[in-house]
Amino acid sequence: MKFDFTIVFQYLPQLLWGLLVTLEICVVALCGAFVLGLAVALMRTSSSVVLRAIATVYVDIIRNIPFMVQVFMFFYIAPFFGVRLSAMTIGIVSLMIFGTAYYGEVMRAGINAVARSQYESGLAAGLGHLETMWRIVLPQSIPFLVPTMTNNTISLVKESAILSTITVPELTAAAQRVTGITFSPFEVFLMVAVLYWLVSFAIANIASTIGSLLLGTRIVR
Amino acid sequence: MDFQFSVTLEVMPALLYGARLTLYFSLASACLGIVLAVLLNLLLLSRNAALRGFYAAYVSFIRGTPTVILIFLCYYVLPVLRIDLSPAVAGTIALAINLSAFAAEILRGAIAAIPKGQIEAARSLGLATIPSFGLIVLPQAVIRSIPPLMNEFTFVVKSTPLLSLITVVELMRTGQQIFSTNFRPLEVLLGVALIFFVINFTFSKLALLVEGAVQKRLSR
Repeated sequence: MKFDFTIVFQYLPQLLWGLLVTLEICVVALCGAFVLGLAVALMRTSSSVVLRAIATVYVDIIRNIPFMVQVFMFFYIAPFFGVRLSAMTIGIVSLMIFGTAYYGEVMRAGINAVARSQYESGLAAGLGHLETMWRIVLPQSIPFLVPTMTNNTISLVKESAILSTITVPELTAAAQRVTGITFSPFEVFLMVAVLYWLVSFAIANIASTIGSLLLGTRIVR
Repeated sequence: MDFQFSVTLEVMPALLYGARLTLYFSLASACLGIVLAVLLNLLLLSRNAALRGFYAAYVSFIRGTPTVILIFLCYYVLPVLRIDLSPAVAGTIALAINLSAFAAEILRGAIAAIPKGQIEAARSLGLATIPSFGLIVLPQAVIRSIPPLMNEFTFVVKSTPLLSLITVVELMRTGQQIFSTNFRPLEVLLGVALIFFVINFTFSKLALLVEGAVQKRLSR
């Protein structure tokens, strides 16, 4: 049994470069997923049967199929229609579509957690449906949303590792490349695991700070 | 190029065989993972801060690391430790370790929800720490955690395609093997996606039913 971590530190810059790509992908994809997720949540809580059905089918399909299968499908569907997209684009789009369903579910639960009388009072005060949602219901769902959104964000960042299978040059792909040079896969992947863990840890802490800031200013009892 | 649904139907029997393997791997890792989760919760009973610290560190690290990385770690640690296991076993262990962290947290929550009086009653009847945990607290906690654990199981099923990365043949790899010979990736992947959908959809709806039953039982 022999571990040699010095060689991993030699290649740390390459791993950090991969980490940067992972972060870029996640920021772009998850910001998009956040906005689209809000739309899905509003559709799922709307009074229109058609909108509800479309959103429900979307969420059910995305959440019940493994991300890796989805990524492969997107990878092969583009050339099927004669479109050439970079692996990076496909990776970002598929993570966005995947994240939308998960964020949408959390936001829907958040909306449902707010007492219905709040929504009704908003309408009674003369606000429209969307305005009531935006100004009355959603701000009050924040205490519920922060912990679950944090967990979801962390698992979506973890899912981004799967994009290495379609040659997106992110952290896991960088690890595989370094492994090919150093022939010390265990040490390299342990280092990468620590890097991912640091990202998860940072997200958890940033989110709880944001959460307490939002709760300090937005929630009126 | 045209999409031929008949290809999907044609490869279905082969894919279903792969699905069987996927289910075997999922069930094996679920069983092992839950046993690990119970053992992890035993650590929390201890007054030893180091053991409780180990629990916290383990759960935080496993939950903060992608499943793919855990699979690679389990796969590549074997030659370092000079242990000879097949990729399938290494992969199943990796999925079990991944599940154990999430399941341990679910169990911890359920155990915290058991009234303190139950433990005090057990202790006053003369049961020691471990038996009162195993005979009184754990069974009640397990009933409460069945629905969330069933949900966690769908996450296990959804992470089995990652085993294909360490050459384990399951549903995803079966699909890849097929479309690398018939050059019809979309049709084959649709079949793979359909099977996964049916397994997970059924299971998550079943979890909802069980949750209703558990709620009813607990409120009685």
